[in-house]
Amino acid sequence: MKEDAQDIPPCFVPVEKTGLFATFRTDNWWIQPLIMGSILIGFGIYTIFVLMLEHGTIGDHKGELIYYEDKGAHYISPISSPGPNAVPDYIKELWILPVSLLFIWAPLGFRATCYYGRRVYYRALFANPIAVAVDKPIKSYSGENSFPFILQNAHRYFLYLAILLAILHIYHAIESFTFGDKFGIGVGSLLLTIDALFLSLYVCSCHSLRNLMGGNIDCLSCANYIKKKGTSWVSYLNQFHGTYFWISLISIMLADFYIRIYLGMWGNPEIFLLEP
Amino acid sequence: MKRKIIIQRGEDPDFFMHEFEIEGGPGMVVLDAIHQIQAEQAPDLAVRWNCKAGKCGSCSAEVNGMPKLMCMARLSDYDNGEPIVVKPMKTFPIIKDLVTDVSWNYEVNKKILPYQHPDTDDPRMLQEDVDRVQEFRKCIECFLCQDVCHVLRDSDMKDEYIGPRFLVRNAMLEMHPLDQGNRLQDLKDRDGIGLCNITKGCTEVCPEHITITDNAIIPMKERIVDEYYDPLVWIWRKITGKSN
Repeated sequence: MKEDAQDIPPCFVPVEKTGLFATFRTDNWWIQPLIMGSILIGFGIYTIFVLMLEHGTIGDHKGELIYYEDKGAHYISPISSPGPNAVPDYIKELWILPVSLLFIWAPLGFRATCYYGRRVYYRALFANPIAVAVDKPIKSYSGENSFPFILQNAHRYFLYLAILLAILHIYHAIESFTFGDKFGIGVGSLLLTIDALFLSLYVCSCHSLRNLMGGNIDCLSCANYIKKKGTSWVSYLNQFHGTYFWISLISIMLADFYIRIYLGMWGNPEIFLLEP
Repeated sequence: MKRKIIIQRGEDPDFFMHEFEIEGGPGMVVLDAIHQIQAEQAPDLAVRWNCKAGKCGSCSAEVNGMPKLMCMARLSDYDNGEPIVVKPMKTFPIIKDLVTDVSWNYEVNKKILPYQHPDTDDPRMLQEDVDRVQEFRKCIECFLCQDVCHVLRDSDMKDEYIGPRFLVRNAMLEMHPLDQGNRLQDLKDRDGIGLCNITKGCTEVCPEHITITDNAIIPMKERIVDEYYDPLVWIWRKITGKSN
């Protein structure tokens, strides 16, 4: 009863699939990379837009729209944090590009070298590979062994800067609840608080932080209390690192849009003051 | 209920797709369908299997394009009207039909420095240290992670990269509280850990739900950064005289 190819009726399914992103998968594998790629590209376009706005390339708001202080509010567009006020005048005079560029490379570098971030852009932007068991268009590959991807090893240095940035965002969030000499709550306060919260969670769940806390120790039971507890907390948060990546990315964009574009250009803040 | 099963068959280089119709029943898995075909329609159909319980890791294949254990893939998970396409693992050479030659994996395994016991009369380790490496011991060596890894599957870099399964084994040994060996140099230079770009396909297909990338590969990458790429750690170790 042995059969061979000659005895078998032809089948409509080929032995190999060809073409771009060839796969035998029948599920909607392309949805996830499409959504993730779109959000990343959207964030990139928005960031370039705000930098051009600050530089005066677009519109007539050169150097403006970073701080919003009408009605006693203390809001800062978080993408530009800590903003031009933190830069000495002599540097501002020499620096011909948007001042925000002096800071923005740090959070961008943190996200670009983030282990979860790598998963997202290697899949969604570089299609290397775009999804599980889907052929990648370019087979030649050198991984993270050579320039520029070997620079991913600098992630922990971006982490140190991101910790400072998260502290700064917490400060901005606290400051946003003061309106003149009164305490109040505005939409901006809420958005800056959500931004600070999820940026902090994103930073605290970092894989490099997990290693530095105690992940690099073989005998965790031999480590001191702080290392043991720290490793345990970071490991717990690390399970949700991807979720924090997305929420913090979207929340910083929303807060920035509200303060820089909505309040700065068009709107009035919705503020609820608490009388002393 | 009738189900169409299309199976890739043949030996290199004569492969062909063979369509079968079977009588599906409740709770039936793809491996049951394959056995039914073997019993009733194609006794020469080659398939490797053993436990039928998702624990031996023998029946790895690609079901509708997704690397899976056939014994864990229920027919009811697939649309009734659509045929189910079953192919052997793409990354390994095919012996016959659904059976692949996975011996390369065993050769790789031999190269890894095994557990190095400490020179002490009373070796002890606490549960909290055991817990961390316990996850890696769940591996059933189905090699689905190896099959799905694009470095092996698409770029075919078997000479330069050991694949996720053996990065997990390295992590298990490296994080072992008693082990005295050091595998970081090998991981970096010989085993090609730098080729992993963390796209987490291996974690996605692992039938034992081992968090391969986050808990094994990334911690190993971070240890390699500690050892070879971080000047501050190097200075700190020089000052304090401490090592891991």
